Amino acid sequence: MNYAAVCRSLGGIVLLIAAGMFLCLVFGWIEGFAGIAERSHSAGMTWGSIAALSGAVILWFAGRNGPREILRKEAVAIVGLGWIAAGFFGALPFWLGGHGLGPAAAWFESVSGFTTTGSTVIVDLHAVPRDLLLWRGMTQWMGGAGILVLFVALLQQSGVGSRSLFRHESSAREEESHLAHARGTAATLWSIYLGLSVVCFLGLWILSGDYFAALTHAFTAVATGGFSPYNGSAAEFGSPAIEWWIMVFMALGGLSFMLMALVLARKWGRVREEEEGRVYLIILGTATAVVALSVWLARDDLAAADAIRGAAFQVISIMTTTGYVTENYDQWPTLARVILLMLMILGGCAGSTAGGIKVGRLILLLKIARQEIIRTFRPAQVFALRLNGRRISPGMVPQTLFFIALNTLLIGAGTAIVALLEPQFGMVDCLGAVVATLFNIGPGFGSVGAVQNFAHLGDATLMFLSVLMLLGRLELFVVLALLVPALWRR
Amino acid sequence: MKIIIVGAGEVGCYLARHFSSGGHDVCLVERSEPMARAQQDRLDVRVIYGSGSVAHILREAGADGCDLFLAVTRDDSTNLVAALLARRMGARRTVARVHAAVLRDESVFDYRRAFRLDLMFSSERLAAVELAKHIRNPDQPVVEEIARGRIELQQFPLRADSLACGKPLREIGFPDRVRVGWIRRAERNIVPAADETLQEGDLLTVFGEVELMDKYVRRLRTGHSRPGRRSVVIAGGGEIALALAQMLTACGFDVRVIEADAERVAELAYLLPRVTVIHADPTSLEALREERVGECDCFVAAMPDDEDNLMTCLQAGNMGAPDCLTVVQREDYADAIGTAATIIGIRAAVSPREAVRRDLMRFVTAKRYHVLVRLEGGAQVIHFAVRADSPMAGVPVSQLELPVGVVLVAHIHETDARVPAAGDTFSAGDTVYALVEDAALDRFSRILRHGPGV
Repeated sequence: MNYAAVCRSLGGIVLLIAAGMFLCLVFGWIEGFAGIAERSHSAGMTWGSIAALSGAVILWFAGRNGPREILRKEAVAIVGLGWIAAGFFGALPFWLGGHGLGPAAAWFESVSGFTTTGSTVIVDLHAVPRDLLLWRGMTQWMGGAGILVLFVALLQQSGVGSRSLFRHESSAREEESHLAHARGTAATLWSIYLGLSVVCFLGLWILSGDYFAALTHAFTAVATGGFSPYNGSAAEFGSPAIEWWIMVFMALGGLSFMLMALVLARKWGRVREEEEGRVYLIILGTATAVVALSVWLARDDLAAADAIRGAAFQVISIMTTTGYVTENYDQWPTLARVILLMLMILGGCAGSTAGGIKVGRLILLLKIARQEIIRTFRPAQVFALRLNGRRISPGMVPQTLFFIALNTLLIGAGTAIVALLEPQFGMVDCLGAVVATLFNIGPGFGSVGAVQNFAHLGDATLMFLSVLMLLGRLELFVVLALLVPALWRR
Repeated sequence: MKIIIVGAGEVGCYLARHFSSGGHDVCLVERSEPMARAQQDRLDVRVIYGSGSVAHILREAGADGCDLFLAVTRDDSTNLVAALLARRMGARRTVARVHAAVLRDESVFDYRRAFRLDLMFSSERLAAVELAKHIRNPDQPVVEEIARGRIELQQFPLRADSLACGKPLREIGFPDRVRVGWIRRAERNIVPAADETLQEGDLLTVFGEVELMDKYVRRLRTGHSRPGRRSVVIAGGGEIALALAQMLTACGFDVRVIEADAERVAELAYLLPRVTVIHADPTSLEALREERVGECDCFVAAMPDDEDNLMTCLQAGNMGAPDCLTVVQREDYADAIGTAATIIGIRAAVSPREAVRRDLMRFVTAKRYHVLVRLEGGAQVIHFAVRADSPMAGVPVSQLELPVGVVLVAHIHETDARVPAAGDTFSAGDTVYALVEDAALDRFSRILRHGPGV
């Protein structure tokens, strides 16, 4: 492990965070200067950006003599520590702003932002200055396509190191990229991401007439984050057209960006072979139909169109792990809630901004299951596992099974730990809190449900849940690797 | 005719012997000295020792003036390079043998044009076509595959219980590319029109695209078109098995392949997503019993070893497999297995060499056409190449003024094979297959030479 090389890269990452903060700061100054809104500027933003910039300079200075080459060990450390650093510096504006958030709560809010979870500890968002709300949205936007991916695209030189940085942060299956350089792939993904966000923003601006609401929602919809500057989330727009528009971009955010790159490159043969995206859309459609029917049958006073819109919004928001809320799904029939719980765990496609165990892994799991069932009576039969029309590497089978098993264990153990820390919680509350954070959704069930928040949780619980968020966002392995002493030896 | 053959393996030697005994000048080029010397004693051909992909060797062999250049070594690259070199030196026709994988790759890249070949063939694939013909038609006496297995011609008598008896042709509802070309009824030959009524005992000749034939011919014979799903077990997972499995799944067969090599099995499972691939030794009795080989509809032995093939076929037949086919690799065994096959219950023994020879015969004929097969009742299927100077090039089929008793069966343009329709035109380089009655043969060959209206 070369600590200097790690420090230098971390400096670059913190520099990106500082740049984001300065943009928000400038936004607040301009609004304050033009007198557009009250409470446009927060002191926390100023101190936070200064601290982040100093942090970046110190880290860069500490690593100035380090080698440029990054090897596997350093890459793992950079990804893991980079996310922790992002969470730390991102939390400073919340903490220093003096809005009643303690250090643990500020850290929780920041990690919830970068991991695009969307769980919040802020009770009254209308009391928060606008530049801080913008920063809250921006953390999700930066975390959505990946801080490290952005880092590779903008600051990192091409090489083996950028490939490992990319691999450890993104859930995309690397072999599906049609570009040779990791840097090229990263730049393509970020361009698509930026393009989608801009289109989403323009549409929202036109539909709502409010550029601030449009910007903050555009930041968090494509990123499938779910932070809204409104206490009542996306429901406060009160406009079906806006809800449909947001649905489209959440759904796109849950699709693989690699797939979109293939569409843009007009590689139709490869697009036609895409299995994961097709299954993802089928699941979205089926779940919407079942949930809409179950909600509609349970209530007499609900128009069919409203039932469909409400169900579609909630199904898309939950499956893409966004976490916007237009309906209080905690009061839906049990069938609808169980479906939502399953979608929370499942999540979107690999290589998207969504969390969860990913549709691709589910497909693979089912294929492995079929294979093992046939093997009980025909042990000599040989199978070729394919995903998206391509042969999968033999190592992916145990990795997939291990990932799913470990997540299952984590759900169980996490629920127990939350129950220990919050004795007043029911079982559904504990399970909801763990699933909502581990799979980066945001709202869970019960007392952390659709119209609730995480403000009433103790500091220890908040710290534990924020670790779950990082585990979920980085797909376990990188975070767990940080705990292995062998990584840190020279 | 001056013929150069590169590669003195099973295929090369077989072709050399065949062509030299047919009176052609054959020059055999072989890289391995012992093999080259051995052939010198056995064959009446000129043998040159050296690599076929080296220019001065080809020059020495006389590639600049040869009529037919065949590159048939085991190595794809050697064959393609040798054929291209020979073509550049002035060989009139070049043919390269490749492995079936290259043919599968043809959808991505046109090798034939890039290497300026007249023909690119895979002996494994040709053998698979031959096997598939037997498997698809377990009880048909006369079946001919045309255009390398894409179009098929069958001849069979109409039985009394067929629902088609007493119906005019147009009511049977054949698609465009499946046709009843010829009927022999009471010693008379009829080229039927749409209102011809079918009668019991008619000897029908039907041809069309392979995928459609199964369904429509069954309808003609029994009146309904739904077959049961038939199962085929292939022992051995070589290139022949792979090509065969692909053809059979395309025709709706339920295929199982048994192969002993672990790496090859993984490869097959990837290439054949709709086939059950089993990792077991196909020569072991236990493996055959495990797969209940006795209950399958057809068993094919396609391993590299002839002894293994023969023995597994016997095993399968013993277990009750109703239909056993085998591949014969070695020339030495061909005759013995061929004659003994029917006695020991093997329906057909297919030899890759023989399949290649039949496919190549059209290149070594001085006549304008080549007889593919003679049919019962005085007719034959012939095929001919449309040359650049041919009066037929560019004329629509309807204006060719074909004599009575000539039916066009297939038309190969580039890699595309189809049953010709009235509006089609032939262009230079195309190959055409026709069904010609004996009485019309002379007139037809005059048309081939001088064009319509003579």
